Amino acid sequence: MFTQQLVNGVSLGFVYALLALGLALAYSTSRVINFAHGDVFTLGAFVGLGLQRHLGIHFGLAAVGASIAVFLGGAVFSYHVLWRLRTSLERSVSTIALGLGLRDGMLIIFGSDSQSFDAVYPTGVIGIGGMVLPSSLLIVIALTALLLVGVGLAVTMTSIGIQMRAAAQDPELAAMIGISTRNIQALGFGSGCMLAAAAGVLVGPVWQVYYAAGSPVGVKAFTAALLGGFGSLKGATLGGLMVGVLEALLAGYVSSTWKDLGVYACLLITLLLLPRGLVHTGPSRVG
Amino acid sequence: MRIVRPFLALAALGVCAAPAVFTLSPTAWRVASLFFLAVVIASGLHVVLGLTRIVSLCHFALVGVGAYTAGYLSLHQYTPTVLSVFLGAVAGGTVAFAIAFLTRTLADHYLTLATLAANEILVNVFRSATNLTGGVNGMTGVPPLSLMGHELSQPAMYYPVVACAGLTITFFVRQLESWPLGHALRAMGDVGSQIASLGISESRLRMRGFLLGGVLAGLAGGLMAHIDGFVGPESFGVGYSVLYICFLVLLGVGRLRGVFVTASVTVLAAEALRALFAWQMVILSAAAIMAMIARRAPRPVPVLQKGQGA
Repeated sequence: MFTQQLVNGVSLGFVYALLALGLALAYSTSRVINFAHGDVFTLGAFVGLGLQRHLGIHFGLAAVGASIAVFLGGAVFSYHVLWRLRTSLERSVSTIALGLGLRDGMLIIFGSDSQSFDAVYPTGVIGIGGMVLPSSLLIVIALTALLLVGVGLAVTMTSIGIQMRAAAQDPELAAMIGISTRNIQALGFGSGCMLAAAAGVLVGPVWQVYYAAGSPVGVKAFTAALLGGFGSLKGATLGGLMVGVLEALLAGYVSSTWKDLGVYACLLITLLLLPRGLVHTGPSRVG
Repeated sequence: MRIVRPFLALAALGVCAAPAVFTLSPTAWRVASLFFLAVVIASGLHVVLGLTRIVSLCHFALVGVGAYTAGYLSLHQYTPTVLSVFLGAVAGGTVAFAIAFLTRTLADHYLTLATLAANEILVNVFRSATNLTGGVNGMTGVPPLSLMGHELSQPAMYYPVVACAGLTITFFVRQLESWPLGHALRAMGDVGSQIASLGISESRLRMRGFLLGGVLAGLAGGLMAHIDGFVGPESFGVGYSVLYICFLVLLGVGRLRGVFVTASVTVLAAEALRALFAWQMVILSAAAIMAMIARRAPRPVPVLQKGQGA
């Protein structure tokens, strides 16, 4: 029972880690917490669903298409909106407003009913060491882990990734050596949105897709990102896994009603006791 | 005189509209009451967002604290309804103060995240504490307001009470802005932690701002419980706080007139334009973002334009 819940938690945790990494990418480059992140996750799932169902394209291509579309949307929002707003209050409110608009836009366009992808992942089960695990669960773990490693490599090994890290550490110095801060911010915010959309499409075939699905997921991603210190791949993965395992254990041993409450309490406690997270890489001042 | 003028104008408008008022249907009375209820809610948010510049995403959860407290006391403890509303306001203020105290070391995005977490925790408690709140089905059968033995069960009867509350609270908030506390709150909102250089404690000021906002939210919740006769957890989601914040930002953060326009649009326009209501949030969020961009002065032109460098 415990090991089964642990694997469920790890599966959830990798999804939260992907979302947390997206939040950390956007925050480190744009210095804004994307309060619309959960809704972008749902938007990605809906765009992927639309591409698969209405255009009849393969799930893999639909996932790539949805991620690119959402990346472009996020980059345009950063380039034309966030760049022009200078106070953190305006930036926060603009992403909050974006989330509100996206959620209600999805309600109008896609309706309030839950929708699901056509059969994508194998439906069988795999027995490992006495445990019976759905193969879809393992596929989600493998794909999200692959994406996490890929993003980690892209950020640390490629020229654009190094520019993003430079702009995140010192925007003014980065501008002095010819790095366009505006473009890098757009790239970072768009990449954050892209990861949220990718997570949405990957879990879409396992979870039900509905317009408000992103709200609780977004709060859990904030918790994971905070635990991870809003700055590193290692931190995001650690935070995501902790939140996922906590949620799965609370659902398994306490009650599914109280699992969300447990995670929200974890968010508040982290903010109060460890506002810089477990793996601190960000600025020394909180806020 | 500057303070009294808008209220004289409102009184004059009231006198002119009086003949028409007596012909209103119960629905119109109810909509008018909801308008003043929204004024009280928006006034509380104005204190927190407009003066102290804190994006509080838990304002409607505090309305919920007031509503559940007042509803529980009136329904199960048979407390006089006016006292229940008062205690609802006290409960809203207490919870708000507790949140502000716990988060006193946080700022900016982190503080907003903390208020989001607080909202989700409170709404989950409303849903889960079935014995106290009725759980997901909510609390039904909350008695109507009663004054001196008279039950104000009809919209035309409770309207004067809610209207008086709305106008009194607006007058109070307007006065507050000219008091030293109001100036200090606004200064803290403008310069942030730099206010500490004047010997003023930022965290204490913020707690006072939150406390005031919470009391007003709790008062609105208490009135809402007795007007509707029902309190349910779905009425206090973070979406409502976001809606009000967007309106206040759209009208200019820190301007009291935004409170009336917010109340008008959320209540009156929603009733009048039910067909367009589905698009309201989408249009509103886009409008709020556009308004913030439009208010920005263009960025200064860099000294060295491209191609002009040495």
